[in-house]
Amino acid sequence: MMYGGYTGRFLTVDLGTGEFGELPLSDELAESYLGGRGFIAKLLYDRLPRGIDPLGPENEIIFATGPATGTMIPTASRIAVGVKSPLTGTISASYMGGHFGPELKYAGWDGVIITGVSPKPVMLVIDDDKVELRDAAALWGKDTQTTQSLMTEELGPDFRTGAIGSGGENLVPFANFLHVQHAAGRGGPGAVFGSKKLKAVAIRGTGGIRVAPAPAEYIAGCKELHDIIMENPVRPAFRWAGTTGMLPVVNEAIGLPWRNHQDDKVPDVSSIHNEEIAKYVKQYEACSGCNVICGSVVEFERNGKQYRSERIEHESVWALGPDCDILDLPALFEANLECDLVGIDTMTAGSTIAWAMEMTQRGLLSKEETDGLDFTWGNADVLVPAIRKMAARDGFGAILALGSRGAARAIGRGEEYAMQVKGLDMAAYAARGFTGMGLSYATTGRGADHNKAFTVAAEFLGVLGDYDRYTMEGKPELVKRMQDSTAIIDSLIMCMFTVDLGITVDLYARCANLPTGMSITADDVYTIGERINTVERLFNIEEGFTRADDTLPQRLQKEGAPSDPGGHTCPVDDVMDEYYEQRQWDADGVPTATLLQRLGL
Amino acid sequence: MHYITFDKEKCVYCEMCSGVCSLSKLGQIKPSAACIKIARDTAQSFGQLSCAVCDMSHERACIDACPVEALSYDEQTGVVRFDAGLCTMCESCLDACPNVGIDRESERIMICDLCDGDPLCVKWCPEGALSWEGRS
Repeated sequence: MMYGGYTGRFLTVDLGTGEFGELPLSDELAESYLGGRGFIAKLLYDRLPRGIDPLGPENEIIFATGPATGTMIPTASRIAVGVKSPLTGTISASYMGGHFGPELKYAGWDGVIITGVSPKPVMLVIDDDKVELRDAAALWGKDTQTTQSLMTEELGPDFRTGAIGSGGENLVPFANFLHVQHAAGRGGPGAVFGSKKLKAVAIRGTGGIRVAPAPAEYIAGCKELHDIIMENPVRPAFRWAGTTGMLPVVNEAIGLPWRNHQDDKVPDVSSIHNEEIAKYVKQYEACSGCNVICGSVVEFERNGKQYRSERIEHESVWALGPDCDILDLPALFEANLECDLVGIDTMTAGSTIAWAMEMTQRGLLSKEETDGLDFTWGNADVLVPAIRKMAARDGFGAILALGSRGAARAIGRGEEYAMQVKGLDMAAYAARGFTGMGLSYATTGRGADHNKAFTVAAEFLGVLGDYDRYTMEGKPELVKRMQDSTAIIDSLIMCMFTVDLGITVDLYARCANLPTGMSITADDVYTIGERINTVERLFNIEEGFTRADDTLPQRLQKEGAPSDPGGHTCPVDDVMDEYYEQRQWDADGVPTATLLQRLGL
Repeated sequence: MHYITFDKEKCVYCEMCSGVCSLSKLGQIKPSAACIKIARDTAQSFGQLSCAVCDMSHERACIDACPVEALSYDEQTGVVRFDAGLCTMCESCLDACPNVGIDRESERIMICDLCDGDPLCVKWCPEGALSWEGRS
């Protein structure tokens, strides 16, 4: 490996045979795909046979860092976890912050490729070059936080830990993998861990990462980038409220979905306002190498029990809260923590409960079918029992554990009320209020992901242009461009928040060049991003996805939100041809030969 | 005499201090070998943070423990100096003081030298948890 920032190798782990190996990282792979999401796209596309069962032995788990991970580039703490998603059947990469990614780099690995199925529960321990699989019988069945405490007891405090909970063990297709309470997150990687009997991963890295320039030059270059974030006027809002600062603002703008997207404004969010959330904060928490510091720890009480947890995030507070018309903050803290303990995605869990509530409202779901659980709008007491039943796949929980679309199909009704794309439930930004988000939900490879082109920045925050929120005009170009630039953020890997904090595309190029010594331009950023998005598209096309999957629920395309006097809709089907043209995909959504040639595919 | 002070209430565990320290001293980002290290009490969730860095205030146990005078006190700057040519890597200094670090790869004992009067860790701490104070 001629470039700085990388360790130059992937660890390979065969859980079936217990064998370990090394896969050298080529200069060409680094140049074409950069890292993180790019590596996952290329590796899974090349390695996985088509049509496999995501929970079968042929699926793989790929941990991938990027060249910036752990190198003091601001926010570059993140690690990607890639699988063929058991929820959507698409390629999927999930991300988490904390200290896990940098530790893997310090241990000397850019990533880990995990194949096969272990005959019994195991924990993967990576101690620099020393790798072992330890028996995890004593951890199996434990929640994610207890598991990590037991790992620390067994291995000592120097190891960074991550684990699945009962959700992953029970193969819930939206189960996740948590390092402390940082979750990699959506798309169900935790279920793939569970299918492989891989309960946990521990890492200790005592080595270093070399960067291309001389130390003094590198430190000065990084300091400039850090100062851009420190001096950005938006930074104090993140530092104080984390992501939840957006909630009241978006709601006021009629952009926060309510009651399973039946409306886009919550009558009153004062009880879950970020100022309310802030009252519970006990301390602030950063990820490794981050000066945004959006994390914090809260202490709260509910039904006489005391809890200590990471503060709830915007998407989680929304999905478990307003989407279910639940505005009881301690109940949301508790439900968020419960999701983290059992290791399931808060967003899909909340959205699926919201689906059950709308089904109940419409008389399409009876209490007899829900094992007596009361899915009336606003019933805060249903959250924890529903979450536990989902993770355990117990009774009606086994239906909910399929996500909203899967649940509707299982009971044979209500798919029109499943607010999802490709099986991945939608996020807290109303498609009808931010049509770019709607188009992004419709076209993103793994479904309705809000972080693959955060057009709210350009449509509402005024960060990347000044687009009309409501019109579809210009959105195919905007979404395509932001999907491509975001692929680089996910490959370096930096945090999405940097988009709002003054890091522009030419600066992402600088974040790639500084540690590596490459000379990527802003144009190259878009080209590499386009290549990553195209490979992900090829993966999905070869898995049988078609134009019919690139859509939004009809409610959002046909009906305006009652609170919106303009009655705006998000008719993404109308602009799909234009979006495909922007992408150089044919009318069926298949990448053209011209595009593949241009991208060297 | 100057030294680095740590405010555990302000630290957010970003570990920027050990990153920049190791890069500056060792030419690579290697927090485990930095002169300053942040650790978390793992007995509690999101437990107390602590900082290990030479506080320049003790009896200089590291120097006393060194059998070959590889460590010496620099009267002029008030820091402990390390002479790699004399060090036998016996690691007695590590046993003597928890604020002494080591980089086994380059065979260096790592003790804060205050970056010749302009400590990078203080400059890089985003929360002001580290400061740089004089003591009479």
